[in-house]
Amino acid sequence: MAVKEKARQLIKLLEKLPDDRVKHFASFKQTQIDKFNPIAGLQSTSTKKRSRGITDIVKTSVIQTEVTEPRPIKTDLYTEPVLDRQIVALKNILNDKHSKFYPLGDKLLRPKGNPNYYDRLVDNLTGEKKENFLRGMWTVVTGKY
Amino acid sequence: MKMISGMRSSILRSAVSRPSLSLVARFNSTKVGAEKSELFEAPATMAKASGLPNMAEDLPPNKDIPLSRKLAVDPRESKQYSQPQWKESLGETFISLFRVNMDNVRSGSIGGSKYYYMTRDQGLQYADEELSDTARYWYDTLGLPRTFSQWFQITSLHIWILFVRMRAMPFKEGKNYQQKLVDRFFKDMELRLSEEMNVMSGRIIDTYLRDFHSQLLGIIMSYDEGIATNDAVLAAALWRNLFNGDKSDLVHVESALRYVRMQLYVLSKMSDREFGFGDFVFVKPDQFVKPLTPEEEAALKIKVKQVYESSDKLLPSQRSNLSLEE
Repeated sequence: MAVKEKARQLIKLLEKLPDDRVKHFASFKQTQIDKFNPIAGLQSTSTKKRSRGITDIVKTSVIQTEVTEPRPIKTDLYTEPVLDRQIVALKNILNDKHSKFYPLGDKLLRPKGNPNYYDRLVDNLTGEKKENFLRGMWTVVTGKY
Repeated sequence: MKMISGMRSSILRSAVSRPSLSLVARFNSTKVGAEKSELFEAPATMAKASGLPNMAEDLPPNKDIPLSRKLAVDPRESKQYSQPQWKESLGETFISLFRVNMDNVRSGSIGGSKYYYMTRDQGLQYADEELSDTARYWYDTLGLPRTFSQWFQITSLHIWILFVRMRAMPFKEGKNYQQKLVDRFFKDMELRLSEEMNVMSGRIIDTYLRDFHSQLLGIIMSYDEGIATNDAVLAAALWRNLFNGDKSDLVHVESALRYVRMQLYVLSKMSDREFGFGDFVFVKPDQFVKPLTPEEEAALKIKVKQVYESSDKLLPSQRSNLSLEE
């Protein structure tokens, strides 16, 4: 019972993870939630079909004719202490514990070779400042950001 | 060309044998067990505390390379290499006479050689050969598969870590170091694929290299997004790339995150000159880095200046425009 509670607590924390800005072959957040759902005794919330990764393509073309679903999780391995440690790890990630403990400062985050590098990257990823073709070509030619 | 190559070897050797500015001493990086606080936990200790076993059946078969196929290191790039005195003197005269830009030359010998070998060795492993301390962390502690593709992921992570610091160098020098590092990475991969992995077709090797190149672009973009935003995004990028998007022990992901942050912190405290001269070494996963106090940081800057400006007359090959302040 306690294990189920812990798993639910973990899922609540996992839901706080930010969504991917770019669509990838697998989502960290959704995969983890799907993994802990059976331990928490919940139904899978994932409605979308898993997208095909490179391993799936290889499997279908070489070994099998169909994409296999991920192997069921070994729930008996997830004891209370194990889940406690997973919760602590996730909390540390969500609270930026490591970036606060090892701050990078402006030296690396506003690099003198490319002061706008990270701002421009994030702006493009969030879609706040879309850049036009000419601006992109300017970067390619000069290498400057 | 031979002379430039000789000069490179000389620079490489002098960087290797420089009076130690060892990070282990500088950052009080310590073997685990010395401190009890959770904040002073080494990544390897953190990962071992997970309590969740690595599930062997979930891992793909190990395809490590036989030791007999291991590529030999160019003798001029080995730590034991020394060249005749007359060659060194001739090189120094050449540099002085033609006012050779040594920061440019150094980008090849340090960025494309010393730093490349450092990144390459982090996850390098062969069948029947004992794993290095760092390789043990990736393959034994984190349970990652012993494959070429995994080695590429580990090496790419370390290359990206160096890229972050290179970006903070002056634009021209930073680009040079980055270019030399990547050129060497792909040249080495081509060799490893043909000699060690025994891929006989040049066309197939080209296809693999193109694929690895696309992967590297994606890896750098994801990790950059991670440090520009927050730990959760960086952790997700590590899980997708380093952990191949299928291994999912959150403690292991956190451990890798801490490892990366630790390296970046050390790099952020190095001056351009130290980094450009090849004085950086990766902190091992079984060590932790204790952040510097402002007093320690000030003392460190003084010590660095003493080391780099101690001699009255610098040799032509030791000249540099890289900053000692930032």
